[in-house]
Amino acid sequence: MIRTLLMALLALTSMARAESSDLRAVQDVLEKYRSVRPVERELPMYSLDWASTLEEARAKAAREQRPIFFLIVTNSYGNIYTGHC
Amino acid sequence: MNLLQPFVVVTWHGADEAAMEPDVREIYARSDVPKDTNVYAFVLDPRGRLVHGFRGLPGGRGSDRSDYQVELTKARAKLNLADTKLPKDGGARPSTLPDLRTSGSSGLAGIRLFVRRNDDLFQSRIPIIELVPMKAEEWRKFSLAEGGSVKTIEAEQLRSWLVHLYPAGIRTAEQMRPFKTILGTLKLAPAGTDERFRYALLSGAVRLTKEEDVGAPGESAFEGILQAVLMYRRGTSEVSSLRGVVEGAYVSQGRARMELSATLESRPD
Repeated sequence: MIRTLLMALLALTSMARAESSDLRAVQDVLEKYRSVRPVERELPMYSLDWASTLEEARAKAAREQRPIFFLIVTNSYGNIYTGHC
Repeated sequence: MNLLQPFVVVTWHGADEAAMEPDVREIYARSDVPKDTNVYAFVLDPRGRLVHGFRGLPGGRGSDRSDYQVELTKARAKLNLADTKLPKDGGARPSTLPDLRTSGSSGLAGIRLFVRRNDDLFQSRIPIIELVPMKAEEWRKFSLAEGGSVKTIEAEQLRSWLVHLYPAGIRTAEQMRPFKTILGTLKLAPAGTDERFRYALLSGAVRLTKEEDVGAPGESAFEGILQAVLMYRRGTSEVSSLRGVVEGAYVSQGRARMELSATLESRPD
């Protein structure tokens, strides 16, 4: 009886250890994600007031009496908004 | 960036003038900026009239490049903004990043990637942001029932994420000749629970090539390790959040090796 109880306790302890080690691995990956992901100061372009089309930009500019900065990229797939020139 | 704070900013991209919508073409054609590059910058007044234009590749050197500080100062003078003092922080707004939204019912709309090189050549640490919309059925490959066992996911099934693993500045070349073969088998393994979530780890090596013949000489390729945490609400088997990293190297045409890292995050949060 005692032996069975000890075996059960041992099994539970091993499971808890495995669980704890798994959660540490989760934390390690989340920590790596946080260290690699750019922070706000590395993304200053997105503090600008972007419009999605020229038409939308014109409407906003007229409404708010603000100038427009307009970039045209003619290499087919460049997209300044996502960081591709 | 500070000088641009008063502006509404917008961009258009396409193959050439013929692809432009009429309102875009009108500005492009009216401007006297020499049409000898592939990035152009224009400043319009609040009524949408063209007041200034310049070649849009940044950097003071080279005939196809412009000094943004100089050009925007000229533009601001033409707009009578020259004397407008900018606050020290530029009056910066909080960042609004490109994002995905769910339509209708709740759930995940897709994945946002931040990709960048790990060196400082050509300002290459500036991140690229890619959005990958995903339908509900595309998330099901990550389903993991409570008490479920390890399963495998072929890297090919993550093609829509992995094809973005290349450095900035070569998107057109990449789109014309995208990655063809995606190799690797990832392991999705239960990784414990806490009071909020049940976790699983997705991990493994991935290899992307432009040819079916893996390792063809002279071909560009990416090779790296993907690690991600998937979170499931207790009592459900559907993933509710994902955070991950891919670290590896892009080898350009079999020669230049560029270390890249990317983060993966499900959206919306």
